[in-house]
Amino acid sequence: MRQAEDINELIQKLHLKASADLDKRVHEVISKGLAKSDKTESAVSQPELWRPIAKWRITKLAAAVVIVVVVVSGITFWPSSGPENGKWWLKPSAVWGQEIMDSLEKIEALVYRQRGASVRDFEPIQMSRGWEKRYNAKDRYRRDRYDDGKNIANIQWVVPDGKDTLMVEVSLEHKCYFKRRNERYGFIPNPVEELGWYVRLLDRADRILGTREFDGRKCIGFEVSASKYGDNRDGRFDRIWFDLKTKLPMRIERHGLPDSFNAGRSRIIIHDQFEYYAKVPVDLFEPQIPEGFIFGHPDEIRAAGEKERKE
Amino acid sequence: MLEDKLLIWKFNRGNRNILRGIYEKYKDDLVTLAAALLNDVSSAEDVVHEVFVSFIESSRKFRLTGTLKGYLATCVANNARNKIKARRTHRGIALDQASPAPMDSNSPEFRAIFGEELRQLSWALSQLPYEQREVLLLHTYNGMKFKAIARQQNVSINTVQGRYRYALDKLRSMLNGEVEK
Repeated sequence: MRQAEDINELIQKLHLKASADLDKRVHEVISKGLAKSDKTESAVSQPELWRPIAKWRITKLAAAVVIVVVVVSGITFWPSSGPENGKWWLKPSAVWGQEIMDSLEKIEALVYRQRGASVRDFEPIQMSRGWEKRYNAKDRYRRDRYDDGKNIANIQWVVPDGKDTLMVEVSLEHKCYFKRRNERYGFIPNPVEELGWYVRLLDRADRILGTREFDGRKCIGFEVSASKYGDNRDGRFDRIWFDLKTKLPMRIERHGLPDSFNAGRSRIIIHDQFEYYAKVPVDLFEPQIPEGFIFGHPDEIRAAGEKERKE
Repeated sequence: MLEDKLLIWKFNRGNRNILRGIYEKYKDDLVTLAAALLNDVSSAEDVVHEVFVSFIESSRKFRLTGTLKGYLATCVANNARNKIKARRTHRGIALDQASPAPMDSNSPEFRAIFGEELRQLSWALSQLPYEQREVLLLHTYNGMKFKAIARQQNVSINTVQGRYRYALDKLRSMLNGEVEK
């Protein structure tokens, strides 16, 4: 039993680190406040500078020449023309992180594959045979389960239905379907926010993993220790890979997850084969029950079949 | 505590640069408090940002009487409360009638706030009525005295103590339920 003291201790363990974005915002506010109080931030300094430029033709011309020179020769601190030769990930993450967030903001739905793997020290990684394809929008969800790694065994939809959500699950294995109201097992309410969360983590990345090709696209990877965002156990870390061209996440690996069923082993969850949609492809989320399928939960159908066989 | 007094002493004598030190010292605690109150990390960061904006704006008039941490925690709690009220008003529900916002224990917010070990706790916290959650966090996490919380919430000290007890009892039963399932 947990006692009040234990709970108090647990509460005191709560800890979240302020993000780099917040640091930046607050330090900016402080700088502005300091500038104001020191009277160094002169509200009139800009007009004062521009006034003579606007006043005399010769200064107007000189200013134009300066602008042309800057545009033609390029400015070394301009984000897209640095010395990194297109290696955007070598620039401060505050620059490209925001670009990724801007791209993600345009996404309404995404599709990806989820796979698992089991790991033990000094043994090769064992990839699970089955995997899932997940379709996720803000208010709806679909999950196709490929238990044998090749054929769909089960499809689940979660769609809005008035104020409620309707879950429809079809078992192709048992040729049945059932419906539930307000149950949403794997539904992530805001998948894009999930990705954005990873992007925001990147300013705390421990290392850059270099480039690799996934799903035919060249990607750059980052590794970040999970201790950076919580009290996760030693050896928990995440890897996230971004498409070099679109800068969108292409693969996420969560390493070192506890394996409750196998002592001494840990798990890896991999999300890959990402597809991004600017508009929700509604047809992908429409529950479809194949003809001839009976209403019932797969467990009930299986139990009934076994009973029949025994008799 | 002595360090805080020194910070405030310098601050009151016109060393505005000390604000950076104050922010760096308390930022994580304040974001954690706001996130636990609001169940939402990005709103929590907005709250902390707003608190510092007001703090900077009012810094000329500022004279600290209690602890700096307590003062900032109170500002965060007041700001978080206003945010929750605004949300509830938007949805047409009163603050004390509102059921807590459901939280998915697998959501990035949860992972971001508390990691895996403390997920159950954060879930249970999010199930508490807001008033109780606020008392519990201000007292336990921020070490504020019941008297100070009563002043901040504009209620009697008995009400605050009652809220604390209820919160702890509920939390204990939820967590024990979770743990022993």
